[in-house]
Amino acid sequence: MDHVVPTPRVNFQTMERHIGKNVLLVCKVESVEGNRASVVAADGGRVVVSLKQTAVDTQFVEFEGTVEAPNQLRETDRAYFGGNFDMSTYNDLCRLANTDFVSLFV
Amino acid sequence: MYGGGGGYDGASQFGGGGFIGSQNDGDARSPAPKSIASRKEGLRAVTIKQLVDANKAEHHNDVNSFHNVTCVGKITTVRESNNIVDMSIFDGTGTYVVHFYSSDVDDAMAQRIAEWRPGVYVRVYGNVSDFDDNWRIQAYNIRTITDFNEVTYHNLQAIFQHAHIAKGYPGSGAAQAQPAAGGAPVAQQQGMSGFGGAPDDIGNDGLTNLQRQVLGVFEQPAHLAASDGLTVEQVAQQLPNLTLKQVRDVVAFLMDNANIYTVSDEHHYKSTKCD
Repeated sequence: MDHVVPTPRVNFQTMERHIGKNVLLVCKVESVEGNRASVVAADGGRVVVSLKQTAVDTQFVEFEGTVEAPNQLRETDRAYFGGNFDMSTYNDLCRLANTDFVSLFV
Repeated sequence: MYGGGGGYDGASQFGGGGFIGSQNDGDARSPAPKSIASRKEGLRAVTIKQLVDANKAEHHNDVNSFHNVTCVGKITTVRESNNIVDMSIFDGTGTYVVHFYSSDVDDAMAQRIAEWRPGVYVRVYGNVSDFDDNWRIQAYNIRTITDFNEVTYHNLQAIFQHAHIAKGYPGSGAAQAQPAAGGAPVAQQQGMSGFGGAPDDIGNDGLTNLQRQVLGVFEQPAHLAASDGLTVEQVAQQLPNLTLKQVRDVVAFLMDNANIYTVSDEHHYKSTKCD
């Protein structure tokens, strides 16, 4: 599949700046109902992801997709991040990558 | 080891060693005059956007000059034939071509190559080169990522190294003016000795004293110039204060970090630092 460049790494707080655009959201999957997953972003914000495929194999997932609303993402691709992922440090990365060091990422 | 929610134990967890925080990195690719010294620069952790920007830049400086790099990204396309693997990787900041050649594909290497499929995250070590007017990474090592904290670590390391070069050494006026790179506690969590980080055994190159000591043997001018490499035993002979096991463990670490590579057979190692 084609990947949009740039596709910034976001937490819940920075996701709303990218409505209509592609982002990378690493999150903890709380529940899946049909093709919708309820997930928690690195900063604790809750997001609903419209899934491309319903089965979710691991607790932590990197969803690539389009931001449809401040708390809604439509998946275009995913990577499984396993069951052991430090969301706190990843949140620090999201903050730095969207502020002081944005020039390295976007 | 890196634990979920527990923060980093140190900067060396995921193989970012080799960074030389030089103010004089030079540039190996720009049209500007090139120096031999520029070829000796350390391993830089970079985002793909940094590489793309560097490729476009007319004027290179310490901040945007790269030669020996490591990138982390997701494979988007991959093509394999005759011991050559060409792939594209994507890290959210851009897409870049990676070229890998292995002269000897044994079973272990064949298994590694088989893992490199679209969607798989990899860490790439290599040299940035211009091939037929297309920039690419000429990889000397590609490793499949299994602990995804490495994605976080790599990007933070790219930030750290960029800030280190752009803002100066820890303790310099510039670094003190902006501690913790924007107020975040990341550098402190990583145990990196800069930007407010606590004193640590791990230096700016991401190596401990022990690792640096062993790497120092490989980087002695005579060994850089020689093509046959060193065995663990030969290194241990030069470091009587270390046990053979200590040297063997460090050599394994340096291999993972792409500070050294195997030559002729799997028992002889040589520094990746250009001679």
